[in-house]
This record gives sequence, structure tokens and C-alpha cells, in this order.
Amino acid sequence: MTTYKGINGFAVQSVASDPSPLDEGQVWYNNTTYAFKLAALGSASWATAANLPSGIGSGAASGTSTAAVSFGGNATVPATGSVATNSFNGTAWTANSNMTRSPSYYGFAVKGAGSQTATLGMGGDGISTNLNLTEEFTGSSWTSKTAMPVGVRAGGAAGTSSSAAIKFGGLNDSGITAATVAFNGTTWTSGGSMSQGPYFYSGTGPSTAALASGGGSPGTFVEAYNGSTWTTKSNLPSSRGSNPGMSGNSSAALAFGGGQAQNSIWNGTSWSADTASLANNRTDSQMNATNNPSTSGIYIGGFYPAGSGYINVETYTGAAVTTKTITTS
Amino acid sequence: MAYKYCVAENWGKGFITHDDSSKFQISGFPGNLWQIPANNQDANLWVYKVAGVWKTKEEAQAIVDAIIAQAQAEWDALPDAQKQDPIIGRQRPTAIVLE
Repeated sequence: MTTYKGINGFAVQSVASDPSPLDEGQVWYNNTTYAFKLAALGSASWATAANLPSGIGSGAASGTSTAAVSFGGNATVPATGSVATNSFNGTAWTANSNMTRSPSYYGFAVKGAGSQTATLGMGGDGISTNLNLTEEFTGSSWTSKTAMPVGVRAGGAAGTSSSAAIKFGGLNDSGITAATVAFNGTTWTSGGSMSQGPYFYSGTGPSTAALASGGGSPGTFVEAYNGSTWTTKSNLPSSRGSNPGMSGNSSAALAFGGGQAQNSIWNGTSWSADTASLANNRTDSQMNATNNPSTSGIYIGGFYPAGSGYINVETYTGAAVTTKTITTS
Repeated sequence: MAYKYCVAENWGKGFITHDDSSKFQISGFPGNLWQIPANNQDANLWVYKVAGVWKTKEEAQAIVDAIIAQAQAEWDALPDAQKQDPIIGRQRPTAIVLE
């Protein structure tokens, strides 16, 4: 008779409690519960989370899926801008002070980077011009910071805090820009230029290991930033033209939404299709959090179809090794 | 794949759980319309759990069509300058054809 030891050269361990941490493929016998068990890779998935207090699209967000802040955007297209700010603790949303900018329309097309308690809000749509406004959120309220050198709306942003953030691409008063500017908490400096500068780029990661993707047509462009230089990377497998959600950094990232329900996973070299898909694929602009590990993500608001902002939120949990009980029949 | 449709309001946390979306694909459409695989016990139980109201494919398509038509009308009413703005105008909402 074929035995496990005969195949693998060693016997299944008999243990009183399940091992930790788990190694994928590990098999053991739990002599307390009298069960053979296996450490197997589970599946990634999205789930709905607490709804926003009010619908919003085309705004900004920072932080993680359990400590996020959402701000700016539009309640409706085209003219109802918002400067509302809401914090998310993984369970519920809490209203915070509004952004300092006025009128509220100026919250449209703002970009954010940082953590829930150290976020930077940058740029925006000034109706007939593009805004250079810079604001810092410290967890409850906003303060004005040194303005960006040039007003920019949309584009992308990345960075882990309000004192280590970059803003890139977008639209300034001269047209599409490929420029990058970096903020150290006090002053802005010029960084490397992207090879392209579509409007609706999204970004993720620290300012020295950032990844940008999506944006305009064809919406598949990807570039990585090392703190001084942008490098073109493998294209997204399909278009994410309108502000896709992103998490992770230049060596491990997740892209979601932006016109595609299915996620794409970045391993530093190439993209692959994730098994998980968003339940509600907002096909127009949506907000994204920039400081998530690639195994988590949060998708906040958005437009679907264009017109009114969504209140719905979804959170992502990446595939993890979990314990499975082996049964026989 | 064959699908079924229901209307249910997404109340937020717990409406779709990680367990739900690991078992079957739930796709949302305008009008609180949800598409789930046909002949799937887990999907049928989810519709019961969220108090979903079943819709035929024709009824579901009519719901989506009405919302898209409304969004298109709103877009058409925008001033030309806003339609041409790459950020403000976005693109005119396009029809969604359910599978």
C-alpha cells in the first residue's frame, strides 16, 4: 500500500495544536481534534464595507483599508464639488473638518498621498485654472502648506506621509504635464519627468518606490519611480483609463477598478490576473488609497455611470495560507 | 455562463462578505441591480440573505437602460465647454447590455 512516508520520505507529524506560522503545502495530524490538516492558499476577495456618509467620486484618499481618509471629489458631475473629509477605521466612517480650500468646487480632481494622520491634499480643478493648493491633514483637521510650484489637477500622487510625497502627471495651465514634484513637509522640489503624463493616472507606494498606472487612453501605461527617475514598465493587461485604484509599491502592487472589475497583480516585473473582482465596477473616476500593502485595498465611491457619486465602499483581502481540514469519503 | 438578477440595496458592511465573493461572482450594475450565476445554491442563499427581489433579464435590462438614459440626458444637457473638458465632462455614458 502506498503511504505518505513512502511518497515523501517522512511521516506526517502528529501535533496537539495547529502549527504557526503556516507553510503552504504543509500537512499535519492534529491529535486534539483528531483531524488531518493542510495549509493551503485561500482565495483573494472583495467585500462591501460601511458606506460613505454621502456619495462622492473623483476625489482622493490616503492610508490603508483599515485606516483611511477620503476627501475632496464631486457629489455630482459636473459642478457639485466637495471638500468633505471622512476617516475610516475599518468598520465605520467618521466625519472630520472640511478641507481649507474654498469654494467647495475646488475639491474636484484633488490628489492625496500619505497616511490617515499625515496626508497631503494636492492641486485640484479651479474651474478656469488649475490649483497649486497644498494642504495637510493630521487626523482631524487640515492646515495650508507651501503651494505647489505649478497648479495641477488630476494626475497621480504617491508617498507614505505628508512629508514624503510626490505629485506627477495631470493637467496644468499649459496642458498635459509629465512633471513630478516632491514635497518634504516644507518645500517642493522638481523630480524626474514621466515619459507620458495622462490625466487620470493613479499612484501607489512610497515616494522612492512608487508605481503609476492607467490614465486616459489606452489606459495601460505603467511607470515606476525610484525617487529621481521614472522607468517604463510592462503594460497593464487591459485598460484602466479612469483613475484606477492601486495599492502596494513598485515591486508588489495591485490595480483595480478604472473600468475593469477584475484586479491585476504586479510582481515587480509583470502583471497577472487576480481571481478576485470588484462587485461594483465603477466605470468612471474613483478614489484610491495610496499607502496600502498589495495584499489589501480599498475602493471608495466613484461614478457609475457618470453623474452621481457612489456611497459604496469595498475592501480587498489578498490570498493567504489558511488551514484546511482533510476529509475522506 | 447563465445568470440571474435581483435588486437589493447595498447597505455596506456585511452586504457582500469575503466568504460570499470567494464562493461566486457578484456583479453590480446601476439601480442596485446584482448579477449572480444561475443554478448556484450559494448565490441563491445570498439573494435571500440580502432580501433581494428577483428580476427577469428583461426587467433587469430595463432598470439599467432607464438609469443610463437619465445619465446620458444629463450629460447631453451640459454646456459644450464642459463636455470638452477632459475631467469635468468625462465621457457620455454608454449603454450596458446584460449577459
